[in-house]
Amino acid sequence: MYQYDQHDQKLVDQRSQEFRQQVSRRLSGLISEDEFKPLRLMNGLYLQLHAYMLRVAIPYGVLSSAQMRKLAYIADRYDRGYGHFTTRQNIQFNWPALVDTPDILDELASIQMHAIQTSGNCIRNITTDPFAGVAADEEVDPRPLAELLRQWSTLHPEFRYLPRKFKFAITGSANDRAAIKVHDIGLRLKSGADGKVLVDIWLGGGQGRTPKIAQLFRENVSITELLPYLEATMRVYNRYGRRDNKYKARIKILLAEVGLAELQAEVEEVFSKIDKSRFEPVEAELSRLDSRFIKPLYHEIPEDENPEPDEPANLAVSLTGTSDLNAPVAHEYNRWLERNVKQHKQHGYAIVVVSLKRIEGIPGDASADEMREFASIADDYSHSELRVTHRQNVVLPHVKQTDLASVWQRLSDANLATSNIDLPSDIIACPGMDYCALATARSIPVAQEIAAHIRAKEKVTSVGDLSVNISGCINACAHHHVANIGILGLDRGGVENYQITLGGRSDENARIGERMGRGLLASEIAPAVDRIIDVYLDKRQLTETFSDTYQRIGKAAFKDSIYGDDHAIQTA
Amino acid sequence: MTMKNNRENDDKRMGIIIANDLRSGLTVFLTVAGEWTEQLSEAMVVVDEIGASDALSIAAKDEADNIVTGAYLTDSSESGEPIVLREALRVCGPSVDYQPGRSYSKCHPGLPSRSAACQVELAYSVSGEA
Repeated sequence: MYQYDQHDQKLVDQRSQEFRQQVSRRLSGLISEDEFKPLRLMNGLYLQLHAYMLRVAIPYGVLSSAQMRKLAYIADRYDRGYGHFTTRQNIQFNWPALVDTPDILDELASIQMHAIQTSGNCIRNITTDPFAGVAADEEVDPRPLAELLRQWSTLHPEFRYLPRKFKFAITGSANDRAAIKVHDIGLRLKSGADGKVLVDIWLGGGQGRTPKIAQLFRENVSITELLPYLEATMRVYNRYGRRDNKYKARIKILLAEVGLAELQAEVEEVFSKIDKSRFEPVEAELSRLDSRFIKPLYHEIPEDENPEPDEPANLAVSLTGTSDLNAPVAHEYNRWLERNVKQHKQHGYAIVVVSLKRIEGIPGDASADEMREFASIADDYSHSELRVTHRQNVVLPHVKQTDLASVWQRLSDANLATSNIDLPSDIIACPGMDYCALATARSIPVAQEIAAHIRAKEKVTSVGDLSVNISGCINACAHHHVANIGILGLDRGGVENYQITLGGRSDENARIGERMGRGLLASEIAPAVDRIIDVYLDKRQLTETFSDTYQRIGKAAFKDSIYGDDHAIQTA
Repeated sequence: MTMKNNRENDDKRMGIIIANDLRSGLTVFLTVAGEWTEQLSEAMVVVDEIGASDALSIAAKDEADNIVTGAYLTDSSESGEPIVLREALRVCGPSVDYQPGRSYSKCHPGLPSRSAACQVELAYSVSGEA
């Protein structure tokens, strides 16, 4: 957990005071809505379908238990008792009153949080691997650099009015859990031969109406050169990015229009003229930032000890008084261990992913009570730390393996032990037209229908990892383009209509999914997804993933499962 | 100030004026008395162009006076229920329970709960008829 210094705190305190004055001027009529709108957006305050919506930044998805409790308090005190965790590791409150927002920002500032740059044409919240610093496969912990970029980009005077919003993502692992190749800039941190950190810069990725996979823009950038190089890149984008058409204003369009070589040459020229001394000493600054992260004091467990989590049989005994491994409780616990517990870099510890995808629930939503329970469990078992994932789940990053049974019991008691991480029912869904003013169709009820439809299959077959993402409009907030099964909700003559794309993926081998054909009615989506999964289960070889099978056999069999003669299609 | 009119056919449809209350942000409707209400049942139903023009003038003034924001005219039925799905959702609230087992009225006494008519119209209609 990064701890603010006095400068960080002063900045958010002053920002909160400034916004209080802006709101006051708006309410008294001194400024119009047209004048106020860019000011509120700079503080994450939207006006949505039903009410204002406040988007709060969770930098690189890391939260303390105290911060989670404060979010719960805000949900109860100023909202309707819940919040929505987003695909950018933020949280959104759907019902705050304008008159309360200055108080909410004060509450956030009191626990080192804010809503700065969660909207507007600026550099947005920096996202990273939700397992940063604890993943067994990690080469470099991306959090100190993520914090450096957060500080560099926050209120950067040159980049406050970019042609369009700009998103960074960082990973320090070969296995990309941060989807860096579908961001404006993705950074892959590596450990160089001399132990120094090197960075590959991927540029021009993105989704929305023109989905693109990022291109490798510059390889093996040293840490000392990184910030000036990024500044040069942003400067070039700020100068040449199109401002005449917001649909063509992202850097991915600039890259496509001028080409990789020309854009690289332009950035190199600007980079050569930048005064690098302004950024020195970066390594010392990174060390300083690193020192402000509270590190968990792990209980050292000798390597020759292998503390496995409680066996399901033991759990069955403690919970039911029997040692029946077939007891439902033992089965559920075993399944949770298999799906929701990930390998930790520290011997004797585990990473626990808590699913926010209960079958009857709303993907990414958590009630205030649930937030408080997360905080309490984190205090008891995870060094008071939590993470939020871009797949809209919550992580307990430092759990002793010997505590796993207790953690599962606590989660189970709170109805939070759904064992479906990375399964098809672990659906990413945007708020859709149930909340969002931009949406063209609902996504939440369709996600619920799909989850209900396929959950039984997940339990009796080894479907394995398979992503299903559903967006309620072309802006693709739910990353449907890079889902194995992507669903896009549109309006067709006043009726919700859903297009299916297949074969996408957001990892280190990111691909944009292929559109299958005409859209389906909402009622047709869940059965169609079910049939698509059946094709995969029927055709896959050995341990093939969905993407592997799709690449090998092509789209025909899958498309036939959607539109074949046996499946009457009601829409044209 | 240019007021938005999202009606598909100005001549044949009725409509209501919908906006957000500036202070709370909640969806509100213009009443016959020229005031704003959160209750759809109290909304004024505009039946012709003269009525629409007058209503939009009131809305524009109230926007200028910082009472509401984002006001516009939208198609409705004779009883004032919006015809377009998006607007129906604005009126009725999300079509999903944000917390299963809890209702708005339970959590927030005094706030409008979804009407029976809206429940029927917006119940997740797999037939796509909403």
